Amino acid sequence: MKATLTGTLIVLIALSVVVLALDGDTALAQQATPEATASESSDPEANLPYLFAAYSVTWIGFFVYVYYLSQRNRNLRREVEALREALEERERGDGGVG
Amino acid sequence: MTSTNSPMRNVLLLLSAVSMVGVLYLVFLYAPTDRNLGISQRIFYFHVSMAWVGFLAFFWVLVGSVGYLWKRSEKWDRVAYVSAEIGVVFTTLMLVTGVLWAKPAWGVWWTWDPKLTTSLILWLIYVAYLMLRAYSPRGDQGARFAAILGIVGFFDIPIIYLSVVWWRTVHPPVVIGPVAEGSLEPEMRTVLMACTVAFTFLFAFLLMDRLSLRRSEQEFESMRGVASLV
Repeated sequence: MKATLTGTLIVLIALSVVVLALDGDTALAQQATPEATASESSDPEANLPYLFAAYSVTWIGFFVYVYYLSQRNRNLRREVEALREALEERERGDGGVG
Repeated sequence: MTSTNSPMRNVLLLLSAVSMVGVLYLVFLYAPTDRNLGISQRIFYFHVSMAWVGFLAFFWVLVGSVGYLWKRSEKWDRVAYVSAEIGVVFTTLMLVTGVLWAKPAWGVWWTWDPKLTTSLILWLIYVAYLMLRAYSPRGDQGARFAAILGIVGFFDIPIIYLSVVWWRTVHPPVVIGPVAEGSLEPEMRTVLMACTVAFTFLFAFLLMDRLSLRRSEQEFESMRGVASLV
């Protein structure tokens, strides 16, 4: 859990730094309006890569989270099985001594 | 282990899957293309719905935290912890889709606009909550500290919602709720509502599944503790 959290945080911070570094001048946003940007391009499908990226990221994000949950579930099953075996072995050992 | 055969869980899974397929149809084939932003405006439907679910999850953190401080019951702590985890997942995706919406709309990936900044603060608060849970000692002390953070963190949500009213902002105005200023075309409103319902089903499914897993993990931990004493 700790490793997952730390790893996720490092990746997200690194991504943020890259985005901010690529961005350069954030003050541009104060001047830009949707209307102004739209007037630069008359093609309504010009921004298709952004739409594709947004929906892909969303679904990948959900699948990664569901996969993480399934892995935790599997680990728990494995640990329960190991504990059961350890207890059975101990019981057998106690029986032998007694 | 989680109860994978719970009827309620299966119903929620089915509802989430069916409604998500329906929502994809509505977003890509039914909703009209925005005149100003073009096709990238369709990011809005998932972005707003995920923001809603993030807020809903953090509301459950508030409920669970207050419940824990009041009753000191593990059940409430579990609700708070699990909701925080799911809320962080949805808020992360909300921020990422927001960044991908901002670039074609504003020409930049990110700007320190009040709404964006307060949203980032919200995400950082609940990441801190999860880190506090991961690194603090097990038991009452860690849960108590986290509950206080979970309650304080929730107060950022009304600030995010009202930021477009209180400050000058480049973020589009609120289109839903008591302080709604913007208006949506009827078809767009229908798609947004459908998306919100679908994501709420998904949240309910994830919450139920994660709660069950968390309960099993805690039961296993206490069993292991007892076994080591025997």
